[in-house]
Amino acid sequence: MIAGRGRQRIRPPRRGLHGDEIDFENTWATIEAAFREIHTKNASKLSYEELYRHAYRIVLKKKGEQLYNKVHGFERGWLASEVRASIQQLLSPNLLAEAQGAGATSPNERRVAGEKFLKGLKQAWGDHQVCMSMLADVLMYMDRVYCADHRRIPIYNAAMVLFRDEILNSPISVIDARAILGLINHVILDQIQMERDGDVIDKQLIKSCVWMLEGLHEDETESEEQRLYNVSFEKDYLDTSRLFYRGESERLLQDSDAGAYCSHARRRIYEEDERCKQTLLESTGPKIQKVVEDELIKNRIHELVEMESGVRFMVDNDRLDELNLVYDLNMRVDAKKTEITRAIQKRIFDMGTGINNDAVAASQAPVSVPAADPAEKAKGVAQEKSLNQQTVAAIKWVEDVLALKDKFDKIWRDSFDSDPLLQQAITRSFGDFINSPTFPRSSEYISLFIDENMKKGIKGKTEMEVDTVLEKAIVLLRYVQDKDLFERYYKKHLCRRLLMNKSVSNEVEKQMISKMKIELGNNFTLKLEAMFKDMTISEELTAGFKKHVDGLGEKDPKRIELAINVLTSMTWPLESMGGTVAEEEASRPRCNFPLAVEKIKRGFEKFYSQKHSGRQLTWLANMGSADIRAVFPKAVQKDGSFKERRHDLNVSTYGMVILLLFNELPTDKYLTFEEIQAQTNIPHSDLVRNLQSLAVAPKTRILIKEPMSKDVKPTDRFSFNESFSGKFVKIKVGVVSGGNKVESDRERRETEKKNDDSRQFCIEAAVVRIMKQRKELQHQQLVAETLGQLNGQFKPEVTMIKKRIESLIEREYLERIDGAKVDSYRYLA
Amino acid sequence: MNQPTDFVTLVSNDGYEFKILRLAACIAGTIKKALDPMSGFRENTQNRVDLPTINGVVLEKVCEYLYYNQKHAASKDVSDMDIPPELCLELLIAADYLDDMISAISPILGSMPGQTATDTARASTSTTLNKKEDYVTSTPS
Repeated sequence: MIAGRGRQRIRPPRRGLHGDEIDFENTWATIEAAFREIHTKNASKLSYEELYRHAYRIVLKKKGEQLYNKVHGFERGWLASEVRASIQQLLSPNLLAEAQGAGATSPNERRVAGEKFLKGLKQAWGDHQVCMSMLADVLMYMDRVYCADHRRIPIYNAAMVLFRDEILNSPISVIDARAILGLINHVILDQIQMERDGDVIDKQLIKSCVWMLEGLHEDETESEEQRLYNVSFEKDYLDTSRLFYRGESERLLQDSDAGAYCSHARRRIYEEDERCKQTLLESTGPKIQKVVEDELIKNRIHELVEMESGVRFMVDNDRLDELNLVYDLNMRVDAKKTEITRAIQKRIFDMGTGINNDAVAASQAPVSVPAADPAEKAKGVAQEKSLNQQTVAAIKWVEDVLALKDKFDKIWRDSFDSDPLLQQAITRSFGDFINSPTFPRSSEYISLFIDENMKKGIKGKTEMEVDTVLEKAIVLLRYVQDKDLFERYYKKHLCRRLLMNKSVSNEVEKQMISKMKIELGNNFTLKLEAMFKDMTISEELTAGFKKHVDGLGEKDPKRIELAINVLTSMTWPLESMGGTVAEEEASRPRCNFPLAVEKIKRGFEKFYSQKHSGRQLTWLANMGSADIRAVFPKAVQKDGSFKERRHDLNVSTYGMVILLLFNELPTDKYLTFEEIQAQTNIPHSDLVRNLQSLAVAPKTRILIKEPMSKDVKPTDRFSFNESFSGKFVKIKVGVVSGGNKVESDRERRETEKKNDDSRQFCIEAAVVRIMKQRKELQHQQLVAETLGQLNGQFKPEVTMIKKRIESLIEREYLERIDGAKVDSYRYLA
Repeated sequence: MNQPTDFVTLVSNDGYEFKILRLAACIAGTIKKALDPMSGFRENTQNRVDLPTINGVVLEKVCEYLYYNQKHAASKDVSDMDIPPELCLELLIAADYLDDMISAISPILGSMPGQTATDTARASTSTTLNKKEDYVTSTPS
């Protein structure tokens, strides 16, 4: 122990230092006088240490409570008499009248009066804080010892509460019972409203008052939510703002267009944000944002989007900035951006449907021409024309869709910040209208578009440009649901391109195929690739045959050169090469070739069977073409000369067969249609078409038809046109309907029927594959899995799947499980 | 207003004046408040604080402590300042009065059972004032 160390004694505190007795009343009188000095800002005369010592002594004498109460009472009195009076003086009658809603004062007067009031208040509050901080310093010992021990709130805080009670919650005047606090709120709100209306206000002043409200609490718990700012002001602020913005949005929607509305809304949001930072408290930010968003956006976005100048207008007029605004606003209130997504989807669908309808209309328009034509003879040609029209319509459709896609891509990129959700929506909408059940031609049109480009479009384009074109086609293809239908059309068109040598570049064709391979998978392009392979093999064959013939010895100047394409019958859509299947099947073998041709045909068959035994060749005369050199007798030319004319005629194989008939015919004789048909055995429809192109088409009228008309009738007579003249040496006799065109309705029905047939096989195959693996399966599940398997190719109808299942059951691939609760099937090995 | 000086004067009740760094002096709460330029009391204008409750010997020790505290404020594991036991009670009272020196002295009185150093200081002060008893006799030892 310390004292136990002996000589070292703890010295006692010296007596009398603190004064033996203490006269509380006197001491308090000193302190009170000093406090008055402090309140009147005369502190420099006072000794802090002296005042502190007084308070120290009182507390040590266990008179802390008395002291506390005295100080408290003193402050209350001071606030109630001095401060309240000075505040009340600031209240001009105008201000009071205005606050009651009866104000007819100008904004400027209001602002000045309001600022004066707030300034006074700020001053009073500031003074109170400074004085109380000094008082609290003086009374530090009381706070530390008495307040801590007796659990009373520190005198400073108590004084702040006094300010609330004596000033803020006090009535405005003797006769007016409204609390000053309400007036403060009103004045601040009024100032804010002025700022919203474009006035300049003293933000710093308001901020000071806001801080005052923030520093005071509604009750004694002093929790965050109980701050006067939150309880009293913020609520008022949010309420008035809500009303204001509700009114404003209504007015704006009526008066201005959507773009202006959006930029206004955005500006308001920004303003409110700034206001919270500069004038109010940042904690209000999210709350007021919500109010503004609710009133300006959430409750209005639908109207906004639907406005006459809304999203539709913006899309149509490429108002990218405004769309971006709408997007931005929508995103603020709705993470899914429902409204704008809906509007965009609707617009895409409408525009897409418009393009669809245009295409349909364009393809149908020419059909009405023959109706106006008095003679019925034009019908055939008109139909051809209408087919051409349709092709143009198809290409226009594709281009329109692509343009639409470009448009929306741009909007998506520039206005929607490449939002993935919107991309999905846009893609879905494109899919919707492209696969619309009212417009079944998209697959065909896309294929035609590629066809057109392969034949003409890409001529003279750089690799890059070509690639863009192909990419575009792929983009569209992505949307198409029934990929199998597209494959069918593509095969058909490709077939024509290959056989008729219409492709500009084989390279590009292959490029396209590989693109499709990437997009749609190996399966899809298998047959297309096989077609290319056939072509390559055919070239080799032709070369081989030529060599073979050369090797036979003696050169025959009249020998006919043969170029041949051997096509695998399963891969090539041969039936689509013109004419109907039934007709072709019946007549194909019976076409009589002229002797010279027949000879070389035999020669090739022999050559081929040597190379590949066991393969059967079927000659498809309807697909071939021939170059003939024709000599026309001397005739007077336009320039007066008189000489023989030679022309190289490029005609179809049938045309060649027909023309060769006239080789053996005296010039003045003629052949009737029936005679030609009997001698050549060319199918009726092909014959009609070929004769039309040889005798009717004005530029290639190598035969003369009697009587002259556009239609070919069985009784017509044909003779060689000796006076034929052409501008060029080489003349191409186009066979009507030679190119790839949009199908007529009848053709399309057939294509669809064929497509359906092949779908049936696909479905059956899928069902069997699934069942083989699962052995037993419920109906619903089977259907779902089948749909899943076929997803990449097409979307079968459920009824079709049902029928296929029935059929499989009939053929004993499957059986129903008896007694199962739900329909189930079992696989029969 | 005068400019705040680097040094301030502390005056004991027996007339000793200690000129010490303002920063060090302000470690004591009471001195700090007395010199607070915001309040502008007389002490602030004169840069001089009269301390009539503290005598020269104790005030010297107080000043020593203020410097000691300032010097080691940032470091850890500082050994206690050497305090003569015979001064410790008076120092304790001075610490209570000046605010925020208690911790320095409390280890010395830490051995006193039942009460915290502060309580002891206040109790002893009151006792002295009230009963005029010789403190030593009532100190548990």
